Amino acid sequence: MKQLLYQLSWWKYLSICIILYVLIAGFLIPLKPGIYSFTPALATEGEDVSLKITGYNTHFESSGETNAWLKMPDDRLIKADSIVIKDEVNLEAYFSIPNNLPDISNSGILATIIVDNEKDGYAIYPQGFRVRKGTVVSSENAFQDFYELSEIRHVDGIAFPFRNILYETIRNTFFHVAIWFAMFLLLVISCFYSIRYLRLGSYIDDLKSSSLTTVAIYFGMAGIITGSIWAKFTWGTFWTSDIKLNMSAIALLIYLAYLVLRNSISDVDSKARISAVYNLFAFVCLMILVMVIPRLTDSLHPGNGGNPALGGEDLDNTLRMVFYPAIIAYTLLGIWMAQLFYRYKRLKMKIKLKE
Amino acid sequence: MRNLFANNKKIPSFVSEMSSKIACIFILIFFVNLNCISAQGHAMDFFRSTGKINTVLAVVVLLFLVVIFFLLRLEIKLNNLEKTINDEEQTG
Repeated sequence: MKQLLYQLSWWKYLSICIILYVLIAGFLIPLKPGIYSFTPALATEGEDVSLKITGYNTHFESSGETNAWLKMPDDRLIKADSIVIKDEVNLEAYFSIPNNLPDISNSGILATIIVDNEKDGYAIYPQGFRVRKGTVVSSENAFQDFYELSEIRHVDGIAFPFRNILYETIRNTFFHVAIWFAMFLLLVISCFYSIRYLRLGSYIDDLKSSSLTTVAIYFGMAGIITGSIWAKFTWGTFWTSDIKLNMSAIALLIYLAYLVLRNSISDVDSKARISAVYNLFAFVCLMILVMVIPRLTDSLHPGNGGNPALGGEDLDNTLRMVFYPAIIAYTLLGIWMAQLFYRYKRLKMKIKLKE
Repeated sequence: MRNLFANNKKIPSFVSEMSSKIACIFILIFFVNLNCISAQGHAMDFFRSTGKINTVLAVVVLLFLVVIFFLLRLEIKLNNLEKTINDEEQTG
C-alpha cells in the first residue's frame, strides 16, 4: 500500500479527488424549486380561472405565505386572488384575468407562471400559459391592478437551475458534456505530439500521440452513447436527426479510420508519419464537423443554431462550480489512461527492436 | 526483463484469465439488457420517474463501463505481451 501511494504522480491523485468531488457535488446539490406541471393550459381574457399547479422541490405547506403570479410579456404581474394549498408540491391558484391586456394579438399571449414564498424563493414555468383574446371588448375589469417584478421574493443558495423537460438530467452536464470537452483537450495534446513527431522524428512522440487519440476515441464513444441515453429521456428517441449528432458520428468514424489505418501499415516509419499526418487532418475535420457546421443550422444542442451556449440559465455559476472541475478531472483521467497505454506500446516496441 | 516480470505468475486475477471472447460476451449481454429495459413499459416509467434522476445514473454507469472496457482491453494486450516474453525466455 505504501509503495502504491508513493508510485503515483500527484496529478493522478488530483484526478481521483476531483472525480469524487464531481460525483458527490453533482448528485447531492439539489435542484432549485420549479413548476413541474399545471392545468388548464389556456384561458381567455376576463375569465376567472383556477390553476392547479404542481411544483418540484417546493415547500408550499411548510413555508409561510405563498403567492402565485402571472407574468405578462411586458413584465407586469397579475396576482392570484386566493390560493388553496394542498400539500408541499400541489396548490390551486385562483386568477381573475382582466380585460384589455397589453399587446395581445389574435393568437393570445404566453404568460409565465410564478409561485413564490419565503422558503423556496420563486418557482417559474416560463411562457407556458396561453391567454386568448376575449370576444367581448369591455373596459370593465381592465388591466390596471398590476404588480412589478420586484414583488417576487427570491432566496440565495446553492442549487442547480430547474429546467422543464430536463429536470434532474441537467446533472448530465458534468458527465456527458464534460467527457466531450475532455476528448477535445486530449486530441489537442495528441496533435501537439503529432506535430512534434513530424518535426523531430522521435518514436516516443508518435506513441504518445496515438495513445492519446485512442483514449480520446473511447471518450468520444462514451459521449455518443451517453448522449443517446440522455436524448431518449428528454427528446424522446435514442437518435434524432439533429445535425450535431450526425456530424459527431461522422467525426468519430474518421477517427476510427485512424485506428484502422495505423494497424494496416506494418512499416514502423511510414506508420508513424502517415498516422501523424492523418491525426492532424482528422482533428481539423472534427473541429469543422462538430464546432462549425452545427452552428450554421438549427440544432437541439445549446450553443448551436442560435441557442445560447455556456451562458444564461443553461450554465449558471452553480453548474460551472462542478462542470469545469469535471472537465479537468476527465482530462487528467484520460491522460492517465493514455499513459498506461503508451507504456504498454513502448514495451512492445522495445521487444520488437530487440528481435 | 526477467526481474520485471518475475512476479507476474503469482498475481491471482480472474481478469487476466478472462479471454477477450468472454469480455466481449459480457459487454454484449449488457447492451442486450439495456435494449430490453428500454423496450418495456414499466421500465420506461422507472426512467421517467419524477426528475429523471435514473437517466443520470445510467450515464454515469456507462462512463464507468467505458473506462473498465479500456482497462480490460489493456489487460488482454499486456497478457499477450507477457506471454511472448515468457515464451522467448523459455525458448531462447
